[in-house]
Amino acid sequence: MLEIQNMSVAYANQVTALKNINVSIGKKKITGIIGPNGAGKSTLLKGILGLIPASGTIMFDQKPLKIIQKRIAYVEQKSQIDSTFPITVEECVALGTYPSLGLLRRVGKKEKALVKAALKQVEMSEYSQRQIGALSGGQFQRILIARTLVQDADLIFLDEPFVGIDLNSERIIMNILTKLRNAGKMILIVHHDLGKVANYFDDLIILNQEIVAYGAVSETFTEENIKEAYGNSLFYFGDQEGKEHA
Amino acid sequence: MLNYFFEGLQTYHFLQNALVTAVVIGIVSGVVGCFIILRGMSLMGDAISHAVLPGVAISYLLGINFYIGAIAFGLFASILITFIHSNSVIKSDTAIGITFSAFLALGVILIGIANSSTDLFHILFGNVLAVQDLDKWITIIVSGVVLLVVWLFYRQFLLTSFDPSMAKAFGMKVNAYHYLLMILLTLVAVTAMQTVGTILIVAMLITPAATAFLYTKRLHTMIFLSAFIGGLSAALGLMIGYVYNIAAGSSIVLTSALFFAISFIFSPKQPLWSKLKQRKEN
Repeated sequence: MLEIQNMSVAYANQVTALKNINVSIGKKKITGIIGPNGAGKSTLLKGILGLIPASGTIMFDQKPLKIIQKRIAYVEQKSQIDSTFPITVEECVALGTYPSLGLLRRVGKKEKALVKAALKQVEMSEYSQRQIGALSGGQFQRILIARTLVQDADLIFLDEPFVGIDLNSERIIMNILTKLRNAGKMILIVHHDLGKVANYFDDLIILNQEIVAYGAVSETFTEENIKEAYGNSLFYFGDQEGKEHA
Repeated sequence: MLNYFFEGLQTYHFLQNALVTAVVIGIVSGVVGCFIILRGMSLMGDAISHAVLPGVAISYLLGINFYIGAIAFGLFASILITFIHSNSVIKSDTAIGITFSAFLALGVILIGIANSSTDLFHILFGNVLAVQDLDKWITIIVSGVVLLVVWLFYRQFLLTSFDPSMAKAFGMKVNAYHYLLMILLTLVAVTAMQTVGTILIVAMLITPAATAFLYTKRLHTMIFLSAFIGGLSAALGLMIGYVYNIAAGSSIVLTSALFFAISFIFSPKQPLWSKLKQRKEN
C-alpha cells in the first residue's frame, strides 16, 4: 500500500500545484491519474518520487518510500527524453539493470539475457541495434516499457505512456502492464485521454490540484466527478464503459 | 611542411613536450566534452574554464599548487550558477554569463597583483611551446586520473546525462555525479590552460565532441571518436602553428573547427551535402 498524507506542492513563484493530497493506493492495481491541463498530474508523480520538493509524508508498506527506491521504475513523458542521444535500443533497455548493479559492476551476461528477453516481450528484438531516434513514438514507448521490465520494479510510475502511439504498441503495452499487475506490481499512470479510461485502469485518481475522486473506475468515472474536475471545458461525456471520447 | 616539423621534433625537446601535452589534452578534453555537450552544458564548460583563473592567481599568491585553487574556484562557480538559477527568475544562461565574466575579471586583477612569472597573455591564450617536463608529466597524470574516473563511472555518467529523472527516481545521487563531472571539467580546464589558453579551452571541449556526435549512435563510440579527433586536431594544429609561426593554441582550435565544418556538410546524421544535391535535382 502506498500512502500519501497531506501532500502539497508549490512552485517557486508560490503558485500552488497540489493541495493537501491524501490517498492510499493499493498493490495489484493499475491506477490512472486523470484531470484537466494544469491539474498537477505529472507533479503528483514527481512529488511522490521526490523529484520535486513536496510537503507531507509518503509511505510504502508503512516504511518511508526512500528505503525501497531501487524498486521504483519511472518513465517520464517520452517527449522529455532526448531522442538524439547516442544510445541504441539495447543499451537503453539495459539502463533498467543499473539499480541492481551497484557502484562499479558492468552490464554482464545475466543482464544482457534480461534485456534480450524484455525486447522479445515488447516485440522489438529486431530493432536492438537501432539508435533510439530512429524509432516511431510507439516503438520508443515499448522500449521504455522493456526498460521497466528489466528493472523488475515493484512500483511502476508512467507519465502519459499512451500519447502518440500506434494501436499495436498500445495493445502490447497494455498486455504487459496487465501481466505485471497480476504479478502483484503497483502501476500508476498519468493519462489525459478519457476515452479509454475504463479499458486501461482498475482504479482512478481524478485530480484538479486536489483529489476530486479516488476509487474503482466503476465508482469514480462518473459524469458528476468529471464535470467537477474539468468544469465547463468538457463539452461531451461518453458512457461509463468509456467507449466514447470526451 | 611535415619534414620541417619532424626535424624540429627530433631536434627540440620543447617541441616534443608540446606535442605530447597537446595530444594528451586533445584526448582528455574530447572525452569529457562528450558529457558536456550531451548534457547541454557547453556554456557551463565555458564558464568553468574562465572561473578557474582567480583560483590559479590565488594559488600563486598563497604559494600552493594551482590545481587546488582552480578546483575550488571551478566548483564555486558551478555552485554559484546553480544557486542563482534556482533561487531567482534569472535564466541559467544569464547566470552563467554574469558569473564567468565576473570571475574572469577578478582573475585578471589577481594575476596582476600576484605578479607571477606566468604571463597573463599566455594564461589567456596558451603557450604550448613553453611546456616544461614537469608540466608535461602533471598533464599526463591528471589526464590519466580524469580518464580513469570516466571509465569507472561511465554507467552513472551515461544514465544521468540521458535520463536523470529515472536515475533520481531509483535513488541515484544525480547531483553528486553532476559535481564530479564539474571537478573533471575543472581539472581539464586547468591542464589545458597552457595548451590553448583559458579563452579557447571550451573549443577543445565541445568541438571534437560535437564532430563525433555527428557520426555515432553509441556513447562509447562517440567518446573514442571525440578523443581521436581532439588528439589529431592538437597534433595537426601544433604542426601548423610551428611551421607557419602562428599561435599554436589558436591553430589547434581552428583545426578542430575545420573537422567539424567538414562533418557538418558530409556526416550521415547531418547530410547537408545530400540535401543540397537533392534540392538541386528537384
